[in-house]
Amino acid sequence: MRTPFMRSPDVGTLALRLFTYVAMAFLFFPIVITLMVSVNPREFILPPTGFTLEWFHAAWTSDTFVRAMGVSLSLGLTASVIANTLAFLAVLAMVRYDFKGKAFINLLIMSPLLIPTTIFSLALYVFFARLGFGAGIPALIIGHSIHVLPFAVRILTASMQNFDTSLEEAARNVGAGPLRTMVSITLPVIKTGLVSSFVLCFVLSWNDFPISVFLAPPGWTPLPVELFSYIKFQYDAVGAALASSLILISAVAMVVIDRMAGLRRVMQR
Amino acid sequence: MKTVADKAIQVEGVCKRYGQVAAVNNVSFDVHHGEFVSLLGPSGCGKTTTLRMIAGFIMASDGAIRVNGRDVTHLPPEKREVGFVFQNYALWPHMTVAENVAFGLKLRKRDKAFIKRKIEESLAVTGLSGYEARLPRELSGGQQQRVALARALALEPQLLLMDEPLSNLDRALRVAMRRELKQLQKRLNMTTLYVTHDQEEALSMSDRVVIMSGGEIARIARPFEVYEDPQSEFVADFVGTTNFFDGTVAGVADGITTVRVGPSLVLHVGSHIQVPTGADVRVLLRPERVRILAAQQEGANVFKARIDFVEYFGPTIRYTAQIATGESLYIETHNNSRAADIGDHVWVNIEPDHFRLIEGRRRRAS
Repeated sequence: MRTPFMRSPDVGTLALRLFTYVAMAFLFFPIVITLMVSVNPREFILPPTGFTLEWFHAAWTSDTFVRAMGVSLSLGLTASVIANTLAFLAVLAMVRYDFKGKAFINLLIMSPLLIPTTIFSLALYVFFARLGFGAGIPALIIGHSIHVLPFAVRILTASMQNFDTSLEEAARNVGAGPLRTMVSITLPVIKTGLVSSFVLCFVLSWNDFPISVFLAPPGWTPLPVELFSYIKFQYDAVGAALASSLILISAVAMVVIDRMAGLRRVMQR
Repeated sequence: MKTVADKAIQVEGVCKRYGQVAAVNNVSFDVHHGEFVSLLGPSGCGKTTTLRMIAGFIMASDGAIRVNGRDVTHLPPEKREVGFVFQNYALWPHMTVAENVAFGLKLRKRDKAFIKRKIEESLAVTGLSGYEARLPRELSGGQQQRVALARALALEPQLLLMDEPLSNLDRALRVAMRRELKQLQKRLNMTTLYVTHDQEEALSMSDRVVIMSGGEIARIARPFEVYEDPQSEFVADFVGTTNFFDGTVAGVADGITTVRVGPSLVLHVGSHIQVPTGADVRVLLRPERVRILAAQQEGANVFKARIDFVEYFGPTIRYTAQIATGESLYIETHNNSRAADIGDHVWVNIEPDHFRLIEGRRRRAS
């Protein structure tokens, strides 16, 4: 907004632009360093003197890491399926119906966003320990599902709010029952939202560290935790290569979401 | 056929209440086989709610709905076997035109050859042959409307419900589609219940018009009856433009009721209803029934008026005038008659038979 006191409005615009670039650089700096280190033949010595995929090769042929990737993959897929199924049903109820306690239930679903993930993970650990499960595969899957649920609910809420219910009425009118209408009309129409939600949930689970640290059982370690233990003791660029792999996979997923539904729509409320 | 019902739709005492508010209150009407009936009224009058209750998208709070003699009041929409065309077309965006049309037939497990023939037929009848493989978003509004119609017709419903199907089209297309729709309806002898807020649409297409106001039926009649003899202030006001005069009956003689309006205006009304002397009445007069005279005349129902405002509509011109006694008067004439300008004084004449009488004083509209 231009005010009478701002003689030269361009100064404000320039300052904002500069601030934005600095902030962007600050955010991208660690990513760029990681990527540089992972292809640098001289470990950790910058600037890089050449290009190598040696570290990537070492990372992707390590039994430990490949196994951890398998764990992260199955964990991410399972948690995403669970979270999206629950989110879809919750959203269906919240978008279509008015009922007592709706605001409270919404707050409950969104609450993982309000609590620091470490605290949330510790709480889950204590909870499962009290129940007698402790850390384990079910606890890990439940933890990840709860963690990604709010994001699924957000994306699917946007999809369902944009969904024109007369499409369902038209299907019912030509003879489709409620279930058939859901399968043949509703789900295909909100497909982009469902795919975006699923991919985002997967990426969040794939990158999660705190929940996995607390809840992963011995012998079933997700990749970020495995990577952390590796970096703690090994001082080489294999860790950086692995980190770069994680970043690249997430980036690809984000591009997929952006193409499908538009990231802006997904992240905004 | 085990029962031959002579009525395609029977709506009996149907109500829809939301909490304390009645959106539709005790509505009853019938639609005969092959008949085209419109539900007409301003927004919020309950016409769409009524239609949606017949389709089963909304469940009636009270009353009964019968389709071809079968009580469907409590049936879900998929069991009602009525065609429905939506205002926004409601085409399934992930299906092609052919798939949209075929969906209902596939649900009925018809064989492939039958479905193929039915798609061809219904697209041909709506003028969409060749568009089978298009997606809805690749079609214009008018074409989407045709797909919606083809989708409904493919199932050969005995009854077609339409919810303002033309209101999203621009005017020229709307008028063309209106004619086409009406011709198609006559050719197929398709029983149709049609919701609209557009009086021109309702009057030009319908066999009968059901006028609704505030969740209740204000009038059920044929289009010319609705217009020529509104019988109520609401109908007169909603359909077309009307002059209202509040007065008192001064005397009745030879089929002419003399009505005194204000201190000095006297109207001679050829009344078709009996109103005793001294009764309060409202006199209705359509603006196109007022005749502008070429010169001053003597006689009953001849008044001098001053033109205050002129609206040129193309085929017609509407004058807002003030009678010498103070009452205002709308006059509508063909554009080939003598034009008057603002400030002109003209003499006007009204045939006694062109007035309509309603008993009681006019409620001042809020």
